Amino acid sequence: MSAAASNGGRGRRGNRPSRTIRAYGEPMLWLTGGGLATALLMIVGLLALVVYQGTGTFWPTAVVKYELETGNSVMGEVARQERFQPAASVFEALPEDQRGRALSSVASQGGYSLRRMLRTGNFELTGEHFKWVSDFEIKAETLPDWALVFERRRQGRFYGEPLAFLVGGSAVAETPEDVWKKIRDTEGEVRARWKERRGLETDDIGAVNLRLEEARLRQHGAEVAYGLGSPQAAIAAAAFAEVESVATAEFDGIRARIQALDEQNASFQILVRTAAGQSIKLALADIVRVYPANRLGLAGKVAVYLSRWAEFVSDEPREANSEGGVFPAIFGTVVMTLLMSLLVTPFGVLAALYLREYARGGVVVSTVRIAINNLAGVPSIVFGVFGLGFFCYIIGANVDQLFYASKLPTPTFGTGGILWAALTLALLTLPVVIVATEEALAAVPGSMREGSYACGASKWQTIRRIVLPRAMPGIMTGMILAIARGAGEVAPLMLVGAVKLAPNLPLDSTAPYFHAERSFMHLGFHIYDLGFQSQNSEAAKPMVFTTTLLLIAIIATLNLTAVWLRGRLRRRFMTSQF
Amino acid sequence: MRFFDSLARNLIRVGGIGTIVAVSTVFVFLVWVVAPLFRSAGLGELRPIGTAATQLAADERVIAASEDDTLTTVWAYTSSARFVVLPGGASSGRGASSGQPGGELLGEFRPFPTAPTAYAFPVRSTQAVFGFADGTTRLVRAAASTEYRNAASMPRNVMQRSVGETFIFEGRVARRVSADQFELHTVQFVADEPIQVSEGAAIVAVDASETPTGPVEASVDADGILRVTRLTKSRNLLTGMERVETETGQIALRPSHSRGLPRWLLLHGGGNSAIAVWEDGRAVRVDVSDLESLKVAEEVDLSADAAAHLTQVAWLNGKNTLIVGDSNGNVKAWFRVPAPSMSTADGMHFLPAHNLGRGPASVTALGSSARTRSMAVGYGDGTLRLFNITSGNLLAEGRNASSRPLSIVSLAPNDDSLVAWDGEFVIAAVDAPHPEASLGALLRPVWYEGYRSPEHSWQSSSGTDEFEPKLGLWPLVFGTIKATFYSMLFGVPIALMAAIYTSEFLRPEVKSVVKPAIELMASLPSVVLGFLAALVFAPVVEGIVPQILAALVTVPFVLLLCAHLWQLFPQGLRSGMQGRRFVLSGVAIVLGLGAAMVVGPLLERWLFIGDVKLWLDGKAGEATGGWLLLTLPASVLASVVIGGRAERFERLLPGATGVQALLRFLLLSLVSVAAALLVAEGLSLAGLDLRGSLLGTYIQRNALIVGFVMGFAVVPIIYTIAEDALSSIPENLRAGSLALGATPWQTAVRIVVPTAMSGLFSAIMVGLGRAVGETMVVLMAAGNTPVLQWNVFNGFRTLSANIAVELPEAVRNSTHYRTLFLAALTLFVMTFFLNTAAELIRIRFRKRAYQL
Repeated sequence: MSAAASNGGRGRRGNRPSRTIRAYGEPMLWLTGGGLATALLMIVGLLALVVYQGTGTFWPTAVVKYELETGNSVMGEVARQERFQPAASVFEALPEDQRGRALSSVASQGGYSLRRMLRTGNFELTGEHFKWVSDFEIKAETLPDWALVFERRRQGRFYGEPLAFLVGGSAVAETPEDVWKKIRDTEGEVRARWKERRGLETDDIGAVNLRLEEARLRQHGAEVAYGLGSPQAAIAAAAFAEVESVATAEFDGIRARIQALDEQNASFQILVRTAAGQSIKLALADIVRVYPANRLGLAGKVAVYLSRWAEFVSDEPREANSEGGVFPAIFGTVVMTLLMSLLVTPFGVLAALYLREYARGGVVVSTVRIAINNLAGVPSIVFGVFGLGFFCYIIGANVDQLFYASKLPTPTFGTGGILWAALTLALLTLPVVIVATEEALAAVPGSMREGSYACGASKWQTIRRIVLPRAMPGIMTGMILAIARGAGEVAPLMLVGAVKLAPNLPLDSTAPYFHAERSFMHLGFHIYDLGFQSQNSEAAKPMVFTTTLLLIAIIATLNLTAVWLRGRLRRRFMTSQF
Repeated sequence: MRFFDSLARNLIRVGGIGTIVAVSTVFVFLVWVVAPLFRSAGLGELRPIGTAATQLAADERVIAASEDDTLTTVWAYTSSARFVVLPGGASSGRGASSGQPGGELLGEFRPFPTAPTAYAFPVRSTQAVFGFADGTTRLVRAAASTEYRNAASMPRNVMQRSVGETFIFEGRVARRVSADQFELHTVQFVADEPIQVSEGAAIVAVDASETPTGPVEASVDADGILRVTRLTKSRNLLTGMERVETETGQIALRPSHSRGLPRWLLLHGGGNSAIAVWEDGRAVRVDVSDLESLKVAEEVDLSADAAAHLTQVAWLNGKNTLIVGDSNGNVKAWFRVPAPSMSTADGMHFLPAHNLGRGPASVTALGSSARTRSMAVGYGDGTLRLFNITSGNLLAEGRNASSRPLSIVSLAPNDDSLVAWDGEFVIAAVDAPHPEASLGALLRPVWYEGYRSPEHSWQSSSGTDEFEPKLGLWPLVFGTIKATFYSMLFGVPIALMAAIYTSEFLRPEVKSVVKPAIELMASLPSVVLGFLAALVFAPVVEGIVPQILAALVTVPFVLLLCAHLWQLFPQGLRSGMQGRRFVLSGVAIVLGLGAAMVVGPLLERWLFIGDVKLWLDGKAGEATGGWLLLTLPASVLASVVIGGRAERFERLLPGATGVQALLRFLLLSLVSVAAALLVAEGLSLAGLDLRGSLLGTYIQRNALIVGFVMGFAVVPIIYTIAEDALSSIPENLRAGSLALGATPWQTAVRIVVPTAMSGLFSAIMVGLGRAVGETMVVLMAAGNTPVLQWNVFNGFRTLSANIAVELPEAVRNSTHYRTLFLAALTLFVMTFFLNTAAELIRIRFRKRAYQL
């Protein structure tokens, strides 16, 4: 506390023990150490929070049934619980005879009560996904043996006890065990039919639509180019009519097949009783996953947990992104980042080679170097603004004028897309690559170059055979750091093409296979959108945590790889000196 | 071989220079987009179209005129009670050269059997309202209509026209748009049925507004009765007949002295207030929101000086701002603001907000823009000025070649052109794409419509065209500064202390783990930080505000206390644990946080009337608690300085040196707390209160949260650069210092830190740059309201978050779009300068470090 103020120059005072103890500055050391500890606590705490929340999300919990004092029953999974201070109005809402009991139970806990957020599901019946249940409201708590958790394609989860398994409307199984067995038996074939149906819906109908759209555009293009009544337009119109009639026939065929599949699937139903006593028929085809939560052993739980993770990384989102998987977002992130690194690496390396090996030193080069260095510190949103204004609105709009005039005024390249996003991020990460490459080039000892020249190699040969291979780990480090930065950036992507829900992947099986103009989903933007713009943010929160965990894991892996590479580079550089 | 060599050289040179140039285009492009904002507006030459003789009768005056969006037609209403249609600016220029009579009348419309006694042509609305001697009013609608024709249906002789050419065809203005398509433009008029407003007394002044519930008309009759009529149209579903229902309220205008009848009557856009204006400048504003009882709200004097009389009065777009011109050439803009003490009937007050200065001659014409807040003003000597009312800027000035006064000025709906009348029709091109933008309007307070005084405000868009965009960048710049300030306040001390400890006191093997761990923090995506801040931390922090405040005190205190206690342990034990000191201090921090959890509620009860949020609202409790936030750090600082010098005092304390130090520490802590309390109490008794400035109402997403979470972004950056700077101090300096008997701590503080000072400084600058530009954290956790408050517990809106929110919706090349680019340019320049300064300092520092 006082070491900074002490003035140890004069010997007369310096000998006193109290001065000695101050000279060691122990308290100040603790303070600085505290700074370091705070920083470490922050990072460790944050990672622990994300990992805990992210990994815990998919673990199946028990289904609890509460009989309430009001006589109702609710059933569901406990999402979280907290202590709270119930307001007086809460008690006034209770019937006369329970109020006293509730008040005394709360009073015994010092005015506090425990309440839990119960995920009750059954949205179509209750109009809500969650319900707060306070301690004083509960009459009895049970774990129903055969409570089933249904994860559905629509309307979220459903909790209920099975009554019967219906095939074509008649019950074929009536005890829970039999129903469960029937579900396990039929699940696979129903899901296979559903997958086939989805394939028909998206791929087949999509392909026909694409042909139709192309023909329509050809007709429109001919009209624009040759005039409305011109013979060319008439030919195009006839061609369109022909395509249209073929397409209509194909549509009918596909629809018939879809209908047949639907009918087959519709015959399988489960009769379920909810906690409130209502009986509901659930179509098996609508169900993604079903399990008897309270009968699962550890192996069963692990199986559910793993299958949820598998769904998360491989499936498409459902329910406004708050359920299902994030496959399109992972895919979009990966494709965009790869495209970006393909764009940024060659140019970054070229620029670094020029600066380090070819440019003559001097004020200009060092100014350029400083400028490049500083671009790394320019806020990413500024690059997003540039990307939107320059790539989308100027280059994209001109490309549209030249090549996609028939689609105008609907923009093709004139709006955000994966190519523009990749270019924007390439610009953003260019300084990272240049700086890292320059460092790597500088780390190659001059003696090696001189040796190479002495052996008669030309400059380019020296660079290609001696300098670049030595610098390669450094260049790789730069590239990985650029990828890590690119994968985590969201702000510029919001402007140049990341969307909440992209109907199509940027890479698919229809020509030209890679669709550079398409908007795409991105893990970072997915987090922003789910956490910030979702209507049901409580239900979305677990998903956000899992997505966050995934994103952090990807970025941390990339960064650690870079650190490891840097270490290797240093070692190599060290040994090469001797 | 040589070939490859030169190829490689050229390729690398071209690629390298090209890349560097490409990067610099970012800056150039931003400037290129922003530049038009500050380009001055242009007003083309005023040139006549055709001659009056071919258009109108000799004694026929034009009363109102308007050009359509395509500039192909002009319609006018004349003193002969007829509407006429003429070819507009786009057609007349070409028409003259191709032998067409530019002034040919294309059509006329005589809707009235008798000439009207009053009329009004409201801004923007395509309808005009007329009053008659028999006490009736009528609405007339003018609508530009365009018909498309195929070339096939056009006669042969027009087929020779080239694309883009304009000509007269079948009494309409025709234009060839493409090889096989023609456009035919004309204006069509529809007159509504008369509405009996007054019982026989002639209407002397009239106005109409289009409100969401239907048209509202206001009129004054010859008896001085002001009436307001609401028209409700209903259509009978069975018969399809349209029926108009009217509802009327009236009040007699009895001014304090007899001045005859008012010259103008003006009805507000919302239809809730009407103003009757006399030529001498007197005006009576009537509250008409309740038709059952119209009330005089206030009487005001609109005249700028006593010697002049009013010559022109007109609404600005939106019909809320009144532009008043007088015979001396003064032009002022008036609008209603909330009255301070509700002294008027409707609680509003009519004020002259903008003075547009004095013109060369009396004001002869006012023409309001239909899409911006611009106004064209014609003066008696033929001068024409174009103003933007929001900023009060003179945009452009022109002069009629004939020097005759312009009695009518009308801006085309798209502001590209204007049509005027000085005895014949005159048109001019207008080029004012960004009338509301100027450096003053963007950065200084501006008096917006309906505001009590000039203010900084950012409110860029709204549903209607009549909205006045408020593009004051200051609230956003302020938000950026606030975010940066609070995050640096939290981040800088932690980062620097951590860097000093890492470089000077941590064992290398621990450092090789710790440093990458903290650097890993830098790579955390900011969207993750934003999400955690907004959805995890913000709700938690909201519940433990007193604990957080207490932690600011307890954590350092417990840390120091533990250090002093640690000094009491035997030397041997301590030196054995030397390397793990920071682990122990981590434990101490946790203890401090625990203490805060205990102390927080006590503090809340004791200083903040038991509910800190209620206290922050400023309604209850004393100000002492708030002042402690400032006085405590000050008194601690003071006691460190004084206590450090009070050598003698220490010897009076009992016990061994360690005990002495502990006692001294405890005593000093006690003294500083007492002093802080005393000063805070004094300030509180003096009636000063921090609430309303540094503290204030608690909002869940606030600067405290942002400051903390931004720490995750800022700390690792500052830490890394600072630690590098400290580590690059040559080892011989340390060795020398230690050899002379200095302790490691003395070496660190007196040798290493001062030598590395410039490096530390540059680290802070780079951190500053990061905080300035951070987008996702502030976007998600700052609440995004552009308020100008330093309050830690309130949100803000930064430049970067604003861009992220608004740019996707901004119309390309609009003023809003370019202003957002200006915001981006500001960020670019700010961070670029910060980083360049940091880099220059760092280079200098490195040079010096090598010399050592």
